[in-house]
Amino acid sequence: MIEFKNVDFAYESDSLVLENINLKINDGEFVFIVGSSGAGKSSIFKLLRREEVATKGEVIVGGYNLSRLSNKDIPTYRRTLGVVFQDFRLIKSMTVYENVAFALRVTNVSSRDIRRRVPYILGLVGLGPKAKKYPDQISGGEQQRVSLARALVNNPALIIADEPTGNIDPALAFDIMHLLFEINRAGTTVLVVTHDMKLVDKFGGRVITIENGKVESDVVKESKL
Amino acid sequence: MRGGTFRYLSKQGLSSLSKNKLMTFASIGVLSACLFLISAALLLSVNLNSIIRYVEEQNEIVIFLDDLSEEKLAEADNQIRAIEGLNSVTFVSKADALKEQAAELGDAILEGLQDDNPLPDSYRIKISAYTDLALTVSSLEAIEGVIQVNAPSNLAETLASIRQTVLIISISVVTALILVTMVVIANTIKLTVFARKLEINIMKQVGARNNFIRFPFMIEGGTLGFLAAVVSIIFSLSAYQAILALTAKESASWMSAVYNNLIPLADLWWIIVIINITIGVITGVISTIASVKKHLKV
Repeated sequence: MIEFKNVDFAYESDSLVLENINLKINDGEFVFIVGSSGAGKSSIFKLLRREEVATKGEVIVGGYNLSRLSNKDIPTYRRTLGVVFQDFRLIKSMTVYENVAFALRVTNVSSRDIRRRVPYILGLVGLGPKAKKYPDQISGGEQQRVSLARALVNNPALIIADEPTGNIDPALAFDIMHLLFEINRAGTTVLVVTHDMKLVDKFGGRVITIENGKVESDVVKESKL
Repeated sequence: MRGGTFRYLSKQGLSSLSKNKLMTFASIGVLSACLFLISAALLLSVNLNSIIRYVEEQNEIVIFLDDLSEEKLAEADNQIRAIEGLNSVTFVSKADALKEQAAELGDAILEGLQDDNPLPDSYRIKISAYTDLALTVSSLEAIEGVIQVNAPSNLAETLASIRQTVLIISISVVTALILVTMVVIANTIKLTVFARKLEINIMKQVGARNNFIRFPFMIEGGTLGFLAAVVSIIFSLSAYQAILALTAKESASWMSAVYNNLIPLADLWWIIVIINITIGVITGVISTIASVKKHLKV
Protein backbone atom coordinates (compact mmCIF):
# COMPACT_ATOMS: atom_id res chain seq x y z
CA MET A 1 0.00 0.00 0.00
CA ILE A 2 2.62 2.55 1.09
CA GLU A 3 6.23 2.19 0.05
CA PHE A 4 9.22 4.49 0.54
CA LYS A 5 12.19 3.33 -1.57
CA ASN A 6 15.57 4.94 -0.77
CA VAL A 7 13.89 8.30 -0.18
CA ASP A 8 15.92 11.47 0.38
CA PHE A 9 14.22 14.78 0.91
CA ALA A 10 15.47 18.36 1.30
CA TYR A 11 13.71 21.71 1.19
CA GLU A 12 15.27 23.40 -1.86
CA SER A 13 18.99 23.78 -1.25
CA ASP A 14 18.89 22.98 2.48
CA SER A 15 20.54 19.92 3.95
CA LEU A 16 18.68 16.60 3.90
CA VAL A 17 15.59 16.39 6.14
CA LEU A 18 15.03 12.73 5.29
CA GLU A 19 17.83 10.39 4.32
CA ASN A 20 17.55 6.97 2.71
CA ILE A 21 14.09 6.13 4.08
CA ASN A 22 12.89 2.61 3.29
CA LEU A 23 9.43 1.67 4.53
CA LYS A 24 6.63 -0.67 3.58
CA ILE A 25 3.15 -0.41 5.12
CA ASN A 26 0.56 -2.98 4.07
CA ASP A 27 -3.17 -2.53 3.51
CA GLY A 28 -5.18 -2.54 6.73
CA GLU A 29 -2.22 -1.77 9.05
CA PHE A 30 -2.29 0.77 11.89
CA VAL A 31 1.08 2.49 12.13
CA PHE A 32 2.45 5.18 14.42
CA ILE A 33 5.28 7.33 13.13
CA VAL A 34 7.03 8.87 16.12
CA GLY A 35 10.08 11.02 16.73
CA SER A 36 11.18 14.23 18.37
CA SER A 37 10.50 17.70 16.92
CA GLY A 38 12.42 18.29 13.70
CA ALA A 39 13.12 14.57 13.25
CA GLY A 40 11.39 14.56 9.83
CA LYS A 41 7.92 13.20 10.72
CA SER A 42 6.06 16.12 9.16
CA SER A 43 8.14 15.83 5.99
CA ILE A 44 6.91 12.24 5.64
CA PHE A 45 3.35 13.54 6.09
CA LYS A 46 3.94 16.17 3.37
CA LEU A 47 5.42 13.60 0.99
CA LEU A 48 2.41 11.33 1.52
CA ARG A 49 0.01 14.21 0.73
CA ARG A 50 2.13 15.04 -2.34
CA GLU A 51 2.62 18.54 -0.99
CA GLU A 52 6.35 17.92 -1.50
CA VAL A 53 8.22 15.56 -3.81
CA ALA A 54 11.11 13.29 -2.77
CA THR A 55 14.49 14.69 -3.79
CA LYS A 56 15.66 11.12 -4.48
CA GLY A 57 13.96 7.72 -4.48
CA GLU A 58 10.30 6.82 -4.84
CA VAL A 59 7.16 7.15 -2.71
CA ILE A 60 4.39 4.80 -3.84
CA VAL A 61 0.90 5.00 -2.30
CA GLY A 62 -2.02 2.83 -3.46
CA GLY A 63 -0.39 2.30 -6.84
CA TYR A 64 0.41 6.01 -7.36
CA ASN A 65 4.11 6.74 -7.78
CA LEU A 66 4.16 10.18 -6.14
CA SER A 67 7.59 11.07 -7.55
CA ARG A 68 6.19 10.81 -11.06
CA LEU A 69 2.66 12.07 -10.41
CA SER A 70 1.68 14.91 -12.80
CA ASN A 71 0.04 18.05 -11.40
CA LYS A 72 -3.14 17.08 -13.23
CA ASP A 73 -3.36 13.77 -11.33
CA ILE A 74 -2.69 15.17 -7.83
CA PRO A 75 -6.42 15.87 -7.09
CA THR A 76 -7.36 12.35 -8.20
CA TYR A 77 -4.70 10.90 -5.87
CA ARG A 78 -5.72 13.08 -2.92
CA ARG A 79 -9.31 11.87 -3.22
CA THR A 80 -8.06 8.42 -2.20
CA LEU A 81 -6.72 9.83 1.11
CA GLY A 82 -8.34 11.00 4.29
CA VAL A 83 -6.25 13.64 6.05
CA VAL A 84 -6.51 14.75 9.68
CA PHE A 85 -4.57 17.80 10.85
CA GLN A 86 -3.39 18.84 14.29
CA ASP A 87 -5.13 22.23 13.93
CA PHE A 88 -8.38 20.60 12.62
CA ARG A 89 -8.56 23.01 9.65
CA LEU A 90 -12.30 23.54 9.88
CA ILE A 91 -14.02 26.46 8.17
CA LYS A 92 -15.43 28.63 10.94
CA SER A 93 -18.23 30.11 8.82
CA MET A 94 -19.61 26.62 8.07
CA THR A 95 -21.59 24.32 10.36
CA VAL A 96 -20.32 20.88 11.32
CA TYR A 97 -22.54 19.38 8.60
CA GLU A 98 -21.30 21.85 5.95
CA ASN A 99 -17.65 21.25 6.88
CA VAL A 100 -18.06 17.55 6.18
CA ALA A 101 -20.29 18.03 3.12
CA PHE A 102 -17.69 20.45 1.73
CA ALA A 103 -15.23 17.56 1.18
CA LEU A 104 -17.82 15.82 -0.97
CA ARG A 105 -18.88 18.95 -2.84
CA VAL A 106 -15.36 19.71 -4.05
CA THR A 107 -15.13 16.21 -5.49
CA ASN A 108 -18.35 16.73 -7.44
CA VAL A 109 -20.53 14.30 -5.46
CA SER A 110 -24.29 14.74 -6.09
CA SER A 111 -26.44 16.60 -3.53
CA ARG A 112 -28.48 13.43 -2.96
CA ASP A 113 -25.36 11.45 -2.01
CA ILE A 114 -24.19 14.30 0.25
CA ARG A 115 -27.53 14.26 2.10
CA ARG A 116 -27.21 10.49 2.51
CA ARG A 117 -23.53 10.19 3.51
CA VAL A 118 -22.88 13.18 5.77
CA PRO A 119 -25.42 12.28 8.52
CA TYR A 120 -24.18 8.69 8.44
CA ILE A 121 -20.53 9.70 8.98
CA LEU A 122 -21.46 12.28 11.64
CA GLY A 123 -23.34 9.50 13.47
CA LEU A 124 -20.28 7.29 13.20
CA VAL A 125 -18.05 9.83 15.00
CA GLY A 126 -20.83 10.64 17.50
CA LEU A 127 -21.61 14.13 16.26
CA GLY A 128 -25.11 13.61 14.83
CA PRO A 129 -26.79 15.99 17.34
CA LYS A 130 -24.17 18.71 16.73
CA ALA A 131 -24.55 18.86 12.94
CA LYS A 132 -25.94 22.41 13.01
CA LYS A 133 -23.32 23.81 15.40
CA TYR A 134 -20.40 25.95 14.24
CA PRO A 135 -16.78 24.94 15.07
CA ASP A 136 -16.53 27.67 17.73
CA GLN A 137 -19.58 26.23 19.52
CA ILE A 138 -18.02 22.76 20.10
CA SER A 139 -15.01 21.46 22.06
CA GLY A 140 -11.51 20.78 20.67
CA GLY A 141 -12.12 17.03 20.79
CA GLU A 142 -15.38 17.46 18.89
CA GLN A 143 -13.67 19.67 16.33
CA GLN A 144 -11.12 16.90 15.74
CA ARG A 145 -14.00 14.45 15.31
CA VAL A 146 -15.43 16.75 12.60
CA SER A 147 -12.02 16.75 10.95
CA LEU A 148 -12.02 12.94 11.18
CA ALA A 149 -15.54 12.77 9.74
CA ARG A 150 -14.40 14.95 6.84
CA ALA A 151 -11.45 12.61 6.25
CA LEU A 152 -13.75 9.57 6.33
CA VAL A 153 -16.63 10.84 4.25
CA ASN A 154 -14.96 10.07 0.92
CA ASN A 155 -14.50 6.46 2.08
CA PRO A 156 -10.69 6.51 1.70
CA ALA A 157 -8.50 3.41 1.76
CA LEU A 158 -5.87 5.32 3.77
CA ILE A 159 -6.12 7.86 6.56
CA ILE A 160 -3.08 9.89 7.53
CA ALA A 161 -3.25 11.94 10.69
CA ASP A 162 -0.65 14.54 11.67
CA GLU A 163 -0.56 14.95 15.47
CA PRO A 164 -4.34 14.39 15.70
CA THR A 165 -4.28 14.70 19.50
CA GLY A 166 -1.80 17.57 19.65
CA ASN A 167 -4.39 20.30 20.34
CA ILE A 168 -6.81 18.48 22.62
CA ASP A 169 -7.11 17.33 26.25
CA PRO A 170 -5.59 13.93 27.15
CA ALA A 171 -9.02 12.42 27.90
CA LEU A 172 -10.38 13.52 24.54
CA ALA A 173 -7.14 12.42 22.84
CA PHE A 174 -7.86 8.89 23.98
CA ASP A 175 -11.34 9.08 22.38
CA ILE A 176 -9.89 10.25 19.06
CA MET A 177 -7.27 7.50 19.10
CA HIS A 178 -9.93 4.96 19.92
CA LEU A 179 -12.01 6.18 16.99
CA LEU A 180 -9.01 5.84 14.66
CA PHE A 181 -8.54 2.23 15.83
CA GLU A 182 -12.24 1.54 15.18
CA ILE A 183 -11.85 2.92 11.68
CA ASN A 184 -8.80 0.71 11.18
CA ARG A 185 -10.75 -2.35 12.35
CA ALA A 186 -13.24 -1.65 9.57
CA GLY A 187 -10.41 -2.14 7.06
CA THR A 188 -8.94 1.33 6.51
CA THR A 189 -5.16 1.71 6.70
CA VAL A 190 -4.31 4.35 9.31
CA LEU A 191 -1.03 6.20 9.69
CA VAL A 192 -0.65 8.46 12.72
CA VAL A 193 2.25 10.89 13.03
CA THR A 194 2.70 11.81 16.69
CA HIS A 195 5.16 12.67 19.43
CA ASP A 196 2.74 11.61 22.20
CA MET A 197 4.55 8.48 23.44
CA LYS A 198 2.02 7.93 26.24
CA LEU A 199 -0.75 7.27 23.74
CA VAL A 200 1.56 5.13 21.59
CA ASP A 201 2.51 3.01 24.60
CA LYS A 202 -1.12 2.65 25.62
CA PHE A 203 -2.52 1.66 22.21
CA GLY A 204 0.56 -0.23 20.93
CA GLY A 205 0.86 -1.56 17.35
CA ARG A 206 3.53 -0.95 14.75
CA VAL A 207 5.72 1.99 15.73
CA ILE A 208 8.25 3.51 13.33
CA THR A 209 10.70 5.91 14.97
CA ILE A 210 12.30 8.64 12.89
CA GLU A 211 15.32 10.49 14.26
CA ASN A 212 17.57 12.91 12.41
CA GLY A 213 15.79 12.10 9.15
CA LYS A 214 16.44 8.38 9.33
CA VAL A 215 14.40 5.33 10.39
CA GLU A 216 15.80 4.56 13.81
CA SER A 217 13.52 1.63 14.63
CA ASP A 218 10.49 -0.20 13.28
CA VAL A 219 8.92 -2.38 15.98
CA VAL A 220 5.56 -3.79 17.08
CA LYS A 221 4.55 -2.80 20.61
CA GLU A 222 1.95 -4.54 22.68
CA SER A 223 -1.25 -2.75 23.65
CA LYS A 224 -1.74 -1.90 27.36
CA LEU A 225 -5.47 -1.46 27.03
CA MET B 1 -19.60 20.08 -13.57
CA ARG B 2 -22.94 19.03 -12.04
CA GLY B 3 -25.83 21.52 -12.00
CA GLY B 4 -25.89 21.38 -8.21
CA THR B 5 -22.15 22.02 -7.98
CA PHE B 6 -22.44 24.93 -10.46
CA ARG B 7 -25.20 26.50 -8.36
CA TYR B 8 -23.20 25.95 -5.17
CA LEU B 9 -20.04 27.57 -6.58
CA SER B 10 -21.95 30.49 -8.14
CA LYS B 11 -23.67 31.09 -4.80
CA GLN B 12 -20.27 31.06 -3.05
CA GLY B 13 -18.92 33.71 -5.45
CA LEU B 14 -21.98 35.95 -5.15
CA SER B 15 -22.27 35.60 -1.38
CA SER B 16 -18.65 36.74 -1.07
CA LEU B 17 -19.65 40.00 -2.82
CA SER B 18 -22.46 40.63 -0.35
CA LYS B 19 -20.29 39.68 2.64
CA ASN B 20 -17.68 42.30 1.70
CA LYS B 21 -20.20 45.04 0.88
CA LEU B 22 -17.90 47.99 1.49
CA MET B 23 -15.10 46.58 -0.63
CA THR B 24 -17.60 45.63 -3.33
CA PHE B 25 -19.00 49.18 -3.46
CA ALA B 26 -15.53 50.73 -3.48
CA SER B 27 -14.39 48.43 -6.29
CA ILE B 28 -17.50 49.05 -8.37
CA GLY B 29 -16.99 52.80 -7.86
CA VAL B 30 -13.38 52.78 -9.10
CA LEU B 31 -14.12 50.29 -11.87
CA SER B 32 -17.12 52.16 -13.20
CA ALA B 33 -15.04 55.37 -13.19
CA CYS B 34 -12.40 53.58 -15.32
CA LEU B 35 -15.02 52.14 -17.65
CA PHE B 36 -16.70 55.56 -17.89
CA LEU B 37 -13.37 57.12 -18.97
CA ILE B 38 -12.88 54.32 -21.51
CA SER B 39 -16.37 55.05 -22.89
CA ALA B 40 -15.59 58.79 -22.98
CA ALA B 41 -12.34 58.14 -24.89
CA LEU B 42 -14.19 55.98 -27.39
CA LEU B 43 -17.05 58.44 -27.85
CA LEU B 44 -14.58 61.28 -28.32
CA SER B 45 -12.59 59.26 -30.83
CA VAL B 46 -15.52 58.18 -33.01
CA ASN B 47 -17.04 61.66 -33.00
CA LEU B 48 -13.74 63.36 -33.83
CA ASN B 49 -13.39 60.95 -36.72
CA SER B 50 -16.86 61.83 -37.91
CA ILE B 51 -16.07 65.57 -37.71
CA ILE B 52 -12.73 65.11 -39.51
CA ARG B 53 -14.53 63.20 -42.27
CA TYR B 54 -16.98 66.09 -42.59
CA VAL B 55 -14.13 68.62 -42.87
CA GLU B 56 -12.46 66.47 -45.49
CA GLU B 57 -15.65 66.30 -47.49
CA GLN B 58 -15.82 70.07 -47.59
CA ASN B 59 -12.54 70.22 -49.51
CA GLU B 60 -12.03 69.18 -53.06
CA ILE B 61 -9.38 68.74 -55.70
CA VAL B 62 -9.74 71.04 -58.69
CA ILE B 63 -7.99 70.19 -61.94
CA PHE B 64 -7.70 72.48 -64.93
CA LEU B 65 -7.55 71.23 -68.47
CA ASP B 66 -5.91 72.53 -71.59
CA ASP B 67 -8.04 73.50 -74.58
CA LEU B 68 -8.93 69.99 -75.70
CA SER B 69 -10.84 68.67 -78.65
CA GLU B 70 -14.07 66.84 -77.83
CA GLU B 71 -12.39 63.49 -78.40
CA LYS B 72 -9.43 64.28 -76.16
CA LEU B 73 -11.77 65.71 -73.52
CA ALA B 74 -13.83 62.49 -73.54
CA GLU B 75 -10.64 60.46 -73.25
CA ALA B 76 -9.42 62.57 -70.27
CA ASP B 77 -12.88 62.27 -68.68
CA ASN B 78 -12.71 58.47 -68.94
CA GLN B 79 -9.22 58.41 -67.43
CA ILE B 80 -10.24 60.68 -64.53
CA ARG B 81 -13.33 58.62 -63.68
CA ALA B 82 -11.28 55.41 -63.88
CA ILE B 83 -9.10 56.50 -60.91
CA GLU B 84 -9.99 54.58 -57.77
CA GLY B 85 -11.15 56.23 -54.55
CA LEU B 86 -13.02 59.21 -56.05
CA ASN B 87 -16.30 60.01 -54.35
CA SER B 88 -17.62 62.48 -56.88
CA VAL B 89 -16.37 63.96 -60.15
CA THR B 90 -18.03 67.10 -61.47
CA PHE B 91 -17.10 68.57 -64.82
CA VAL B 92 -17.21 72.37 -65.00
CA SER B 93 -17.01 73.62 -68.58
CA LYS B 94 -15.31 76.94 -69.32
CA ALA B 95 -18.77 78.42 -70.05
CA ASP B 96 -20.12 77.24 -66.67
CA ALA B 97 -17.01 78.60 -64.95
CA LEU B 98 -17.63 81.98 -66.53
CA LYS B 99 -21.24 81.98 -65.38
CA GLU B 100 -20.09 81.19 -61.82
CA GLN B 101 -17.59 84.07 -61.95
CA ALA B 102 -20.28 86.40 -63.28
CA ALA B 103 -22.58 85.38 -60.45
CA GLU B 104 -19.87 86.12 -57.90
CA LEU B 105 -18.31 89.30 -59.36
CA GLY B 106 -21.19 90.83 -61.30
CA ASP B 107 -22.05 90.62 -64.97
CA ALA B 108 -20.49 94.00 -65.87
CA ILE B 109 -16.92 92.99 -65.13
CA LEU B 110 -17.09 89.94 -67.37
CA GLU B 111 -18.89 91.67 -70.24
CA GLY B 112 -17.19 90.99 -73.51
CA LEU B 113 -15.51 87.84 -72.31
CA GLN B 114 -18.28 85.55 -73.58
CA ASP B 115 -16.70 85.43 -77.04
CA ASP B 116 -13.17 85.07 -75.80
CA ASN B 117 -13.55 83.07 -72.56
CA PRO B 118 -10.10 82.90 -70.84
CA LEU B 119 -11.22 80.33 -68.24
CA PRO B 120 -10.25 76.67 -68.77
CA ASP B 121 -12.45 73.58 -68.49
CA SER B 122 -12.09 72.00 -65.06
CA TYR B 123 -13.13 69.14 -62.79
CA ARG B 124 -14.08 69.31 -59.10
CA ILE B 125 -13.28 66.07 -57.42
CA LYS B 126 -14.01 64.75 -53.94
CA ILE B 127 -12.11 61.75 -52.71
CA SER B 128 -13.06 59.12 -50.16
CA ALA B 129 -9.78 58.77 -48.25
CA TYR B 130 -7.51 61.74 -47.78
CA THR B 131 -4.62 59.49 -46.85
CA ASP B 132 -4.46 58.55 -50.56
CA LEU B 133 -4.36 62.18 -51.69
CA ALA B 134 -0.75 62.19 -52.96
CA LEU B 135 -1.35 59.11 -55.11
CA THR B 136 -4.59 60.53 -56.53
CA VAL B 137 -2.87 63.84 -57.38
CA SER B 138 -0.02 62.11 -59.21
CA SER B 139 -2.52 59.94 -61.15
CA LEU B 140 -4.42 63.10 -62.17
CA GLU B 141 -1.24 64.92 -63.18
CA ALA B 142 -0.29 62.02 -65.45
CA ILE B 143 -3.46 62.40 -67.55
CA GLU B 144 -2.85 64.08 -70.91
CA GLY B 145 -4.43 67.51 -71.10
CA VAL B 146 -4.33 68.23 -67.37
CA ILE B 147 -2.42 71.50 -66.90
CA GLN B 148 -2.86 72.06 -63.19
CA VAL B 149 -4.01 70.15 -60.10
CA ASN B 150 -5.02 72.15 -57.01
CA ALA B 151 -5.22 69.87 -54.00
CA PRO B 152 -5.52 70.71 -50.28
CA SER B 153 -2.32 68.78 -49.47
CA ASN B 154 -1.53 70.65 -46.26
CA LEU B 155 -5.04 70.20 -44.93
CA ALA B 156 -4.95 66.50 -45.77
CA GLU B 157 -1.68 66.09 -43.89
CA THR B 158 -3.00 68.02 -40.88
CA LEU B 159 -6.22 66.00 -40.76
CA ALA B 160 -4.31 62.73 -41.14
CA SER B 161 -2.00 63.67 -38.28
CA ILE B 162 -4.95 64.75 -36.06
CA ARG B 163 -6.67 61.45 -36.80
CA GLN B 164 -3.52 59.47 -35.98
CA THR B 165 -2.91 61.42 -32.76
CA VAL B 166 -6.51 60.87 -31.64
CA LEU B 167 -6.15 57.15 -32.39
CA ILE B 168 -2.86 56.83 -30.47
CA ILE B 169 -4.17 58.78 -27.47
CA SER B 170 -7.41 56.77 -27.42
CA ILE B 171 -5.58 53.42 -27.56
CA SER B 172 -3.11 54.53 -24.84
CA VAL B 173 -5.89 55.81 -22.55
CA VAL B 174 -8.01 52.70 -23.06
CA THR B 175 -5.01 50.36 -22.48
CA ALA B 176 -3.94 52.23 -19.33
CA LEU B 177 -7.49 52.19 -17.97
CA ILE B 178 -7.92 48.47 -18.71
CA LEU B 179 -4.73 47.86 -16.71
CA VAL B 180 -6.05 50.00 -13.84
CA THR B 181 -9.34 48.06 -14.00
CA MET B 182 -7.42 44.78 -13.76
CA VAL B 183 -5.35 45.96 -10.80
CA VAL B 184 -8.48 47.13 -8.93
CA ILE B 185 -10.30 43.82 -9.48
CA ALA B 186 -7.16 41.78 -8.69
CA ASN B 187 -6.77 43.64 -5.37
CA THR B 188 -10.41 43.16 -4.37
CA ILE B 189 -10.27 39.47 -5.20
CA LYS B 190 -6.91 39.14 -3.40
CA LEU B 191 -8.62 40.23 -0.18
CA THR B 192 -11.36 37.64 -0.48
CA VAL B 193 -8.83 35.00 -1.58
CA PHE B 194 -6.76 35.81 1.50
CA ALA B 195 -9.83 35.57 3.72
CA ARG B 196 -10.55 32.16 2.23
CA LYS B 197 -6.96 30.88 2.23
CA LEU B 198 -7.80 28.07 4.66
CA GLU B 199 -10.81 27.06 2.59
CA ILE B 200 -8.64 26.88 -0.55
CA ASN B 201 -6.02 24.84 1.32
CA ILE B 202 -8.66 22.37 2.53
CA MET B 203 -10.13 22.15 -0.97
CA LYS B 204 -6.68 21.26 -2.31
CA GLN B 205 -6.16 18.66 0.44
CA VAL B 206 -9.41 16.87 -0.27
CA GLY B 207 -8.70 16.73 -4.00
CA ALA B 208 -10.48 19.71 -5.56
CA ARG B 209 -9.29 20.61 -9.03
CA ASN B 210 -7.92 24.10 -9.65
CA ASN B 211 -10.83 25.10 -11.90
CA PHE B 212 -13.27 24.17 -9.16
CA ILE B 213 -11.42 26.41 -6.70
CA ARG B 214 -11.11 29.28 -9.16
CA PHE B 215 -14.74 29.22 -10.27
CA PRO B 216 -16.38 31.13 -7.36
CA PHE B 217 -13.66 33.81 -7.56
CA MET B 218 -14.18 34.10 -11.32
CA ILE B 219 -17.93 34.55 -10.71
CA GLU B 220 -17.06 37.22 -8.13
CA GLY B 221 -14.63 39.09 -10.43
CA GLY B 222 -16.92 38.80 -13.45
CA THR B 223 -19.90 40.07 -11.45
CA LEU B 224 -17.87 43.03 -10.13
CA GLY B 225 -16.90 43.88 -13.72
CA PHE B 226 -20.48 43.47 -14.94
CA LEU B 227 -21.99 45.68 -12.23
CA ALA B 228 -19.35 48.36 -12.85
CA ALA B 229 -20.11 48.14 -16.59
CA VAL B 230 -23.83 48.72 -15.95
CA VAL B 231 -23.07 51.83 -13.85
CA SER B 232 -20.64 53.10 -16.49
CA ILE B 233 -23.16 52.50 -19.33
CA ILE B 234 -25.86 54.48 -17.51
CA PHE B 235 -23.51 57.40 -16.79
CA SER B 236 -21.74 57.52 -20.16
CA LEU B 237 -24.90 57.30 -22.27
CA SER B 238 -26.68 59.88 -20.09
CA ALA B 239 -23.70 62.24 -20.34
CA TYR B 240 -23.53 61.77 -24.11
CA GLN B 241 -27.26 62.43 -24.44
CA ALA B 242 -26.82 65.64 -22.40
CA ILE B 243 -23.93 66.79 -24.64
CA LEU B 244 -26.03 66.12 -27.76
CA ALA B 245 -28.92 68.14 -26.30
CA LEU B 246 -26.57 70.99 -25.36
CA THR B 247 -24.92 71.28 -28.79
CA ALA B 248 -28.34 71.06 -30.50
CA LYS B 249 -29.45 74.22 -28.67
CA GLU B 250 -26.34 76.19 -29.70
CA SER B 251 -27.07 78.60 -32.53
CA ALA B 252 -23.47 79.42 -33.62
CA SER B 253 -22.95 78.10 -37.15
CA TRP B 254 -19.73 76.20 -36.37
CA MET B 255 -21.44 74.57 -33.42
CA SER B 256 -24.33 73.40 -35.57
CA ALA B 257 -21.79 71.98 -38.04
CA VAL B 258 -20.26 70.06 -35.11
CA TYR B 259 -23.68 68.96 -33.88
CA ASN B 260 -24.74 67.74 -37.32
CA ASN B 261 -21.70 65.49 -37.38
CA LEU B 262 -21.96 64.05 -33.89
CA ILE B 263 -23.10 60.45 -34.08
CA PRO B 264 -26.66 60.05 -32.75
CA LEU B 265 -27.12 58.00 -29.58
CA ALA B 266 -29.30 55.49 -31.43
CA ASP B 267 -26.36 54.58 -33.68
CA LEU B 268 -23.79 53.89 -30.97
CA TRP B 269 -25.46 52.98 -27.66
CA TRP B 270 -25.02 49.28 -28.39
CA ILE B 271 -21.27 49.74 -29.01
CA ILE B 272 -20.89 51.34 -25.57
CA VAL B 273 -22.97 48.57 -23.97
CA ILE B 274 -20.94 45.77 -25.63
CA ILE B 275 -17.55 47.39 -24.95
CA ASN B 276 -18.32 48.12 -21.27
CA ILE B 277 -19.68 44.67 -20.52
CA THR B 278 -16.92 42.89 -22.47
CA ILE B 279 -14.08 44.85 -20.87
CA GLY B 280 -15.70 44.71 -17.39
CA VAL B 281 -16.42 41.00 -17.37
CA ILE B 282 -13.27 39.82 -19.18
CA THR B 283 -10.87 41.93 -17.10
CA GLY B 284 -12.78 40.81 -13.98
CA VAL B 285 -12.33 37.14 -14.79
CA ILE B 286 -8.70 37.40 -16.00
CA SER B 287 -7.47 39.40 -13.02
CA THR B 288 -9.19 36.91 -10.69
CA ILE B 289 -7.26 34.02 -12.22
CA ALA B 290 -4.02 35.90 -11.50
CA SER B 291 -5.02 36.57 -7.86
CA VAL B 292 -5.89 32.96 -7.06
CA LYS B 293 -2.91 31.38 -8.84
CA LYS B 294 -0.48 31.84 -5.94
CA HIS B 295 -2.73 30.02 -3.48
CA LEU B 296 -3.24 27.01 -5.71
CA LYS B 297 0.32 25.76 -5.27
CA VAL B 298 -0.41 23.42 -2.37
